[in-house]
Amino acid sequence: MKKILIYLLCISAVFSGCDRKSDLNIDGKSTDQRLSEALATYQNKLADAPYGWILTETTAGSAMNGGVSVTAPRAVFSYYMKFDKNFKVSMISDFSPPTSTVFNTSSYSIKATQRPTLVFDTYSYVHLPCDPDPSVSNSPLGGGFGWGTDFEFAFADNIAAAELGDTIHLSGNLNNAKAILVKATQEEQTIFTTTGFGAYNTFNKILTYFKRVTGGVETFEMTPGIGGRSVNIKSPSNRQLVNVACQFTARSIRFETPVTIAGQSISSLDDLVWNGGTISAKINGTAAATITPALAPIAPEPGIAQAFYNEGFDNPWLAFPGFHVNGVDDAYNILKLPYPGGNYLAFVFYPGLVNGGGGRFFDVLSPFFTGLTDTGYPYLFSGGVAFTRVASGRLVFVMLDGGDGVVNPPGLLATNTIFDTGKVAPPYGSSSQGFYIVRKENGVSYDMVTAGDALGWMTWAHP
Amino acid sequence: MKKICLVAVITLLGAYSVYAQQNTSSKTEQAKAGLKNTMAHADYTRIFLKKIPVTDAQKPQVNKIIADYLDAKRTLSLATRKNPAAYDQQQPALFNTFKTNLGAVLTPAQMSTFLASKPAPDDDKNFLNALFY
Repeated sequence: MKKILIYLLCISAVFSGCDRKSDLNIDGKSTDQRLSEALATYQNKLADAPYGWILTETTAGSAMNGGVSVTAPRAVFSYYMKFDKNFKVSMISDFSPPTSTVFNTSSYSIKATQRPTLVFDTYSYVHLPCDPDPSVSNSPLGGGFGWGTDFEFAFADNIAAAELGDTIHLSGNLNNAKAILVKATQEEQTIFTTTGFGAYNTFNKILTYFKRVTGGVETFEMTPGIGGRSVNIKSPSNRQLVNVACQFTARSIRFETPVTIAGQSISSLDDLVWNGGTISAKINGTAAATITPALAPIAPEPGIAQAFYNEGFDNPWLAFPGFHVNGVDDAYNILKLPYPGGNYLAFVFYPGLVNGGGGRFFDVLSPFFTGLTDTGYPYLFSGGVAFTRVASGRLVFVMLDGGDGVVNPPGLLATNTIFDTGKVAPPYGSSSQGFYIVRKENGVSYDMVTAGDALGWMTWAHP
Repeated sequence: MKKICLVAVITLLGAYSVYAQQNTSSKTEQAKAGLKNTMAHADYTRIFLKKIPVTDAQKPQVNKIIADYLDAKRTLSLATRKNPAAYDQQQPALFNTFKTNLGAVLTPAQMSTFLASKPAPDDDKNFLNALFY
């Protein structure tokens, strides 16, 4: 009898334990109801900010495509955004001069994926650095990768939506880019809507590669980081290059980490004002400073031009976009350079095409195409051969026409003229001043900068 | 048995991955290979002999002679890159061989025109230096 009762109790326990409820009601609400309310709370948090938000996105240093991950330079992208309750978002971005002032409206949604996720679900400025087409994203990684940014972000504060405050942390779903949303003040909204990303625009009014900042303990130089999304800083006393990602706001440039120059810690350049040729600013918001264009590096690396040339003999240099000229990336659209039947892969600088005797070499300085049967360099012998020499620490080219007669497209003609003259535009001197070779922050990429005017540059590497 | 199959699959996938990586040329290697291809197929008569009316019958032989000569020059260049004097000492022998081979295909008049096109040694802008020096 005892055994029967025990068996009956066990069977009851088993059946009650197997009772599967199809819905877990908490406080009288179903799972779906609670989920909808949470998503609505996230949306309200974004849309209820009266003056909008400033979003700062920092890449993780890698980019994914189809399961393949590549190392990427760190980059910071900033946006001013205004969300509404109709799932529309209006924004500007420091991605480029046009995006820094012209508002773009797109749509967004809050979705319940593994974590609640903010999705910019129609093409917007957020998508530009994600674009796999390097002619759109200006990514230095080539086709397929963008910058390693995201356009779908999980809310990462690990608190309930109702508890979110004026700062919201986000994490990109694909590339793990980190983003922070900070509520904008009324003053910031006014500045963004009237002058856009003012600091970005003002800073980029100086078009030269080299920018000098005076007014601190020591004058220092700022040059573009890889892909132009960070800055490299050098000073005469510390000739070691320091790379720092920077965030542009309405009036300031903020360094991701402070930079020490001659003992002075600098974390920002504030209150940038264009003075028709130079920029006045304040170091760390206090010390008056001036940013001016410069035609030469402040602390050139000895022997770098010759070393760059020599290294190319065994290992050609490749560049993907063409020259950045007067503030425009790939100004002559080299990424889309045509040749019938071929696909542009890269511009190639390959010293040692042929020896011309007396220590003189003729070199390849010509675009390379895939998909062609009998050639990879269809324009080589019609303007793509260079006689190269090193003079006064600079690389100087004389571009030769080998007489092959292949008609060069206008973009290639313009590019070869820059190689030949060391300037982006006339007037040209009687001889070319050539190019400065500037080592980038990764130590293995180099910028070739027009020494005649410092207004044009092209980035080379061994990919 | 299951463990053996699992290990075998993982090994095969790993081997495939390594094979795939070994057979994916870097862009730099593609650029180098592309130059070899270009040099092997270029119409050098248009580049170096444009003032000489080379016939269609002569073209294939002339292009091969020039391509082989440039290839030999390139090998010598790489071997003597840090010693220009050694290159200048050995190059004339290569040129003489090239001249003999070319002379066997071109007519005396064509050859005479070609030799007369030799640029001055300091004429850096003249691509014919690539043949004569």
